[in-house]
Amino acid sequence: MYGSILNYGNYRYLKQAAALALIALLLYFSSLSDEPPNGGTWQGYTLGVIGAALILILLWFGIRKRQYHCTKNSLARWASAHVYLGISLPVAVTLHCGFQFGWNVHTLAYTLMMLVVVSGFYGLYAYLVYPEALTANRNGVSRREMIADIAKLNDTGLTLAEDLSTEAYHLVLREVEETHLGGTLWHQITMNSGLPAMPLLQWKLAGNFVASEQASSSVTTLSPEDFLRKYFRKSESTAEIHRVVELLKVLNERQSMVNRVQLDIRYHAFMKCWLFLHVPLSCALLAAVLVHVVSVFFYW
Amino acid sequence: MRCLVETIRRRRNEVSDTKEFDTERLSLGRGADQDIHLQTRLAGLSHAVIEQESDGNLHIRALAPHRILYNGRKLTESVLNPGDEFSIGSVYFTVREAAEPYHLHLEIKEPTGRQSKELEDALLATVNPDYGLSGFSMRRAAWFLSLAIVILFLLLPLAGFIYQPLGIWLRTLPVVSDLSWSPGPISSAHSFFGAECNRCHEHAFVSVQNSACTTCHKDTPHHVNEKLLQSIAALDSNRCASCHKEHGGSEASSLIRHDQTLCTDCHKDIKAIAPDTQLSDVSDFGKNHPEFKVTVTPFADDLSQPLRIALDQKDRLMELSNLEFSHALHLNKEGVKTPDRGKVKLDCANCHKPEQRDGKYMAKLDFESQCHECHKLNFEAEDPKQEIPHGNDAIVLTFLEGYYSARALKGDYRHLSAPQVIRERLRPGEELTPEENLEIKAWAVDYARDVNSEVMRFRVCGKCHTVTKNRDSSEENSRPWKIEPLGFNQRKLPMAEFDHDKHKTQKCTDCHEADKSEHSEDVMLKGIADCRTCHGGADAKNKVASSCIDCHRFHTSPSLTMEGKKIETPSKVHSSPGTESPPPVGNNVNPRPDTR
Repeated sequence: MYGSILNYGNYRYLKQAAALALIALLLYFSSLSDEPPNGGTWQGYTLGVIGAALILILLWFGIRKRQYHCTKNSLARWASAHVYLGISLPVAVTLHCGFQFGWNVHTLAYTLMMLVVVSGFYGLYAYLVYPEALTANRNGVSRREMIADIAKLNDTGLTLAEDLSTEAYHLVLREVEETHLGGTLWHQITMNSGLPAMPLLQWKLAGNFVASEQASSSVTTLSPEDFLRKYFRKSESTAEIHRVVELLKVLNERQSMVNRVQLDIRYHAFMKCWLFLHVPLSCALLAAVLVHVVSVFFYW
Repeated sequence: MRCLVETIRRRRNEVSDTKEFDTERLSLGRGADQDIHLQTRLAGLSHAVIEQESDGNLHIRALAPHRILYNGRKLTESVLNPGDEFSIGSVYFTVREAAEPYHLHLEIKEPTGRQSKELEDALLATVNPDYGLSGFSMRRAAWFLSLAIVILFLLLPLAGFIYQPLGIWLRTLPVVSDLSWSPGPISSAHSFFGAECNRCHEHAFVSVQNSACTTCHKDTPHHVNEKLLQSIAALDSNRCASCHKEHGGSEASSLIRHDQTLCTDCHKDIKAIAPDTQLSDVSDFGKNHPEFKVTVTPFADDLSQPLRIALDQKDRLMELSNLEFSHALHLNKEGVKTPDRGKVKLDCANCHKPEQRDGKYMAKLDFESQCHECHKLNFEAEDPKQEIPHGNDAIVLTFLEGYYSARALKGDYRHLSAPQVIRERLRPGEELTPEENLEIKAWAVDYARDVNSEVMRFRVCGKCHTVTKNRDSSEENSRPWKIEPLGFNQRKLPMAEFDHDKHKTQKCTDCHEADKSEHSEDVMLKGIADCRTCHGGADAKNKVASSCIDCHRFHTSPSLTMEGKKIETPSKVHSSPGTESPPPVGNNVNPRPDTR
């Protein structure tokens, strides 16, 4: 946690946000003795102003983080404030509305705010958890380098397979063609990575060899290892056996590299996906707050 | 099938090689025996063939297990149409319009560079940096959502406000009308026009005006008595909607407020807004409420000016009732003597009965039904059944004159003061002379006057009523003595709404010390301490929680509406039963005394 945005400035913004939430609670409880708490009492207006100001400050973070030349107030400071003030926002706004909800533009704004805050919570979680996992997975190698490695292994694998047989080449080629490192966002997140590669490839490879020589019915009844043994027994060429083993090594290495790249991409997707909600909904929230304020005073 | 195949060099984008084929079956693959030899590791030795099928179209067919990326989709077979693009590995083909005599014109873009670079590029292409959300941009989504919200929820309702027919039509649709601005359900009382926002919200950015309320609520009495209105500017500066909040739900506790802060905001320091007031500060019934003030007519000349005296000011607390009455005597435990029923034990309910309507107040007392059984108004010993009429002292003398004239004319009235002609019986056939008539008349007038004086002052009327000499010279002859009007009010606490019916489980003497009162001047109410044995403040836990509005009312002006117009007929809701006029308010306001 050293140097995290959470403990920036000795939790300065945690304290400020807690103070803000406390003020909001005091305002709310001071309004309990009168009419049912709502946004129209002086306490309600005060809480509303606090909420609107918070929203503007939180949105400004989106602009500030793109001001790359700006050196006044570090981005870490802004991010820390963004997180903690973002947590105090739903407190202020919920007390502003006095727990009154309905099918109207005001509750629309509230719902948007809650969606933004909830997605922000996920984002905070993602930023706290995944960078570490990502670094561990990369282990000092960039994604581009890993992809270059896979390409080299593809090349080696294809060469080895071509020497072995046409079927083996087709099999490896199919594997190369079918390999998707990324894909859609959904695919990136749900991609089936990390499964042991060897049995699958052994199965395919052995099955392919056997299918070309024997009745295909036995393909499904024997385990990949048995297939290999069967194939090796039949083969008389030691060089060929050597090539098969070599090919399997290459393919295995390749598959683990593919898994690492896929995991890398998945971590990136985890860290990015929430922004697709967080950012557009934040802007929609600003519009809804504008409509909320105008409509409230239009029909005062 | 004649085919023209042109190879394009990537770097210079020019045709580097042209081949022609005249074959039934054009083969594509990495093998050296293929018609089109593909220099890519991602192609099979024999990858695909192009043939003319029986339907006349040219087909490309991948040989198992290979496939072709045809117009962006992985296929095993497709019809070749001019303009189509397909690729095998990193070799890209474009189908061109074939000019005579060719049937097929293919353009090939060959890969350049290392084989592993080609493989690397193919892998990189699968990473999909835009997450497969091509066409989705956060910026565009943000704009779309924001604009949609502004248009649907702001601009359309605004247009409907500017052009009312549009607004009315929009309200029939979901979402897009000003109904989406409604912060909460309308109270059930107003819900019948709840969808017509502009019945109340008449002008943009102007809070709801009182005129919108008084369009319907035109008879609602003003806040308080109009004499006080001048001095309480704070009341007038408030809008109706400052207190009566709509959109608080169908039950609308905010529409008619019961919380006491609405009152105590001002009344906890009432002098701040009304420096001249004689009211005391109040913040809570249980903790800070002054002793009750009763409206009484004390011993003073001016009966039209009753005073408000606190119940704890015992030395001042008396009431000029102009009646001689002892509650203690009537409530004697031994009973009281009656003419016909012997001794009868009386209790409060013998005289004081609740009003028939709702039992909130006690009915007016009535001589005939409550007093007359014992208190006979007879005046003539020889004629005990004859009684003076009750209720109008102005006719008593006239009545007596008539009675004694008739009595004297009959004769045989043996009173010492009577002349001979009256004392003797008038014989049959005998007639009085005019002189005798005059004598009888003179005696009857004189005697009636004496009897009047006696019954008024001592014997009949004066026994209960305060009787004074009439100083009005014009009436001196016809009404020498007069009965003072009764000085007690029907309601001692006109500023509060006490409901006897709700307290009928209590004994009368719990609040009224009637059994100890020997004089009608006594004000028998016990006071606030007595109420507080059961009632606490608004937050009371072990007592009846009572806020201001449980006893007091607002909008009580007897004569003015909220718009400042004269109330023609006092509103039934706000007028107080038991008094003929609305309750007096303030310290110096007169309830009309009971003058029976």
